Amino acid sequence: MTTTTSSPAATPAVGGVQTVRRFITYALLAATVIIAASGLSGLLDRLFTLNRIEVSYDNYGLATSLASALVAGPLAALLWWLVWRDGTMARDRASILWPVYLVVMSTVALLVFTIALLSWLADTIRYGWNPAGLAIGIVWALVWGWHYWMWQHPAKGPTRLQGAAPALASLIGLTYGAGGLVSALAQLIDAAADAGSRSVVVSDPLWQMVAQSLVWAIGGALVWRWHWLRLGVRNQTFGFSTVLLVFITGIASLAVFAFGLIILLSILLELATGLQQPLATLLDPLGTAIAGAVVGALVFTYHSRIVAERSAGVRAATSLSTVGVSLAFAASGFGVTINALLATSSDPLLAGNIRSLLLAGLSALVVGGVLWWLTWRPREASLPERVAAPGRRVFLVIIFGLSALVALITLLVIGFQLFAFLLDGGSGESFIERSRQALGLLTATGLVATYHFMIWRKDRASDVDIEPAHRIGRVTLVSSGTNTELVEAVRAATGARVTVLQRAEPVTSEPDVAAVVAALDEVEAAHVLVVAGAKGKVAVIPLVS
Amino acid sequence: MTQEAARPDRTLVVILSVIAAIVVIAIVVVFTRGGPTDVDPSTPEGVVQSYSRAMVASDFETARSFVSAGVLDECDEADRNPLQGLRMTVISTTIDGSTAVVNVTLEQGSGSFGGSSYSYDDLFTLVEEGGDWKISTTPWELTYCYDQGFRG
Repeated sequence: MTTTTSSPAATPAVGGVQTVRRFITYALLAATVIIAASGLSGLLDRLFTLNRIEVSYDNYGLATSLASALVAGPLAALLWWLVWRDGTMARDRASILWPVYLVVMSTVALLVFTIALLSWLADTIRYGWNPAGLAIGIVWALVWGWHYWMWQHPAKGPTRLQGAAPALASLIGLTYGAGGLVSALAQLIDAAADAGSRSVVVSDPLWQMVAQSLVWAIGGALVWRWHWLRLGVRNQTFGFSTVLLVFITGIASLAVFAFGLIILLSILLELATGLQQPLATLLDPLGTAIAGAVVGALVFTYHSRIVAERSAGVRAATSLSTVGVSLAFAASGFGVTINALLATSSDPLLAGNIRSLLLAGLSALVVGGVLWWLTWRPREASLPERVAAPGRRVFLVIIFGLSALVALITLLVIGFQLFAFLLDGGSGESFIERSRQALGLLTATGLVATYHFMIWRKDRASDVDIEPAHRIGRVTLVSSGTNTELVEAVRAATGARVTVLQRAEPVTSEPDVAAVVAALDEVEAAHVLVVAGAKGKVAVIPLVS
Repeated sequence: MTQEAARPDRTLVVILSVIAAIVVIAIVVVFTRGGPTDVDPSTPEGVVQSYSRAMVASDFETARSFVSAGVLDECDEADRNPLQGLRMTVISTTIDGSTAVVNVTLEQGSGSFGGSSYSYDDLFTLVEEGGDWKISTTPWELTYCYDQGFRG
């Protein structure tokens, strides 16, 4: 869990004119902090490079830095003092704008300082010591540290959107780490391939390029590790962190893995069927493909284990995301295969590289198809436990929505080409030639939609209860403490959004989880107030909204 | 119920058969089909094909022989870049006395995954010189002279 502690005296923030006041104050604070930081980093950069021989003294640049630091700096300090006073913070702490400000500023500061510092380190490996550029990293690291301190402050830290900033930061770290690792591995593999194919290579020494990529990999890993393990993003069950976990596992890492495999397979197929292009050109993406597949698999495996420990909803969402990504690759591959087939129907002056197009399409179809078969398990698709899985109907509706969107776009393209062809009175082959991509995608989408429509009909015809009916929209729970188990149980039983209002004075022997869940049985209302009282009493009050 | 659900789906079998059939046809057709048909070199399309093939093969001497003398007089030779995976299809040809316009669709980079990177329509103009069609202007990727014979 996060180390953020929230005081029990977190009362809801007052809205109205106070919201406008907060919005303006935080917007001004953000602007002045950014301007002051840029001014300070400009001045610090000049201090670091005093010995540099100046061709031009750039007085305007110095004037800008001085004005930014000396005008915006004190203004930022004044605004911060106004915001941070005990009186203001008592009113603002529970407002959504306070954590939004902190999320935006700490994410911006983290991005600027890590990009500046890691680029500087990578450049230092290549060009040697040069303090220019270091100033931005130092100043923005301080800005980040300052906001991090405010976020964690026991008495003034925000009480809402907990975990959003660390979760975003862990994603940034993971992206740098995985990206750096892919780049380092890719360079090693490409160097080996160049040596194997005896290509003439003009570049920096290999160790230098690999070390530069490793700087990003290690820097990213540190940022990720600090947030993921130390600040506990790994174990967070807040909505934002959960969505992020599903995105990383079910979509991003699997897509990188599958894409790497597809490129690798298409290269192998081209090698097996005879070269259509120079070997060096063909092997160009080899390193990135292998590295992408390896790192994607690594990230996917690690996060899958965490998903396995989570609730049934999270597991189902991740599994359906993997099905969706695999399906997208398979369908695109099939579309490209049809595209290549249609390309043979016309008689061009220059043939282009249709064989490579076909092999790329087949690779995507095979890799996406196998992944889809393994993740969706079509032979068991209509088993009762699969039909009742949470999120299945949402998944099917998303598939229909995306299919409709692709069909609309491709039909528009085909319609345009058809009318253009009829109005121009051009040759017959130019219509197919110009519409073959759209025709390929439309056919693939049609097959995807047909299959899922069949699944949808079968689900409806079966006597399995499709997902629990949501009779309650929102539950406001009054209890002595934030009992995560209770909140999860109410959410699982009702499917409702749960908000907890904590009692100022705890009561003795509150009702247990089962009693609260049982009290909500058969209740139907948009909003329900549940008061967990003393001696195991539960009061359930349906509200208007 | 369970038995019925576990039975391989007929729709899925049909869809997989359609996919398999298209894949087999695509492989057979793409791999057995030869290169583009040679167009009669005395026609404007034939000249465009011969010139473009020479440019793609980096055979600039042959390409030069198809360019009109008027253009070569003022030629500012273009930088040569390798052309790979260029596909060109004729949309229409218009002959008006001693000039001809060949309208084509060009597609570049079809080797990459996901289809062509980009495709666009452009035209070649040709003039008749001594009974032969000669290239006057071309799409930019196949340009022999930067100024295409226009006098500054």
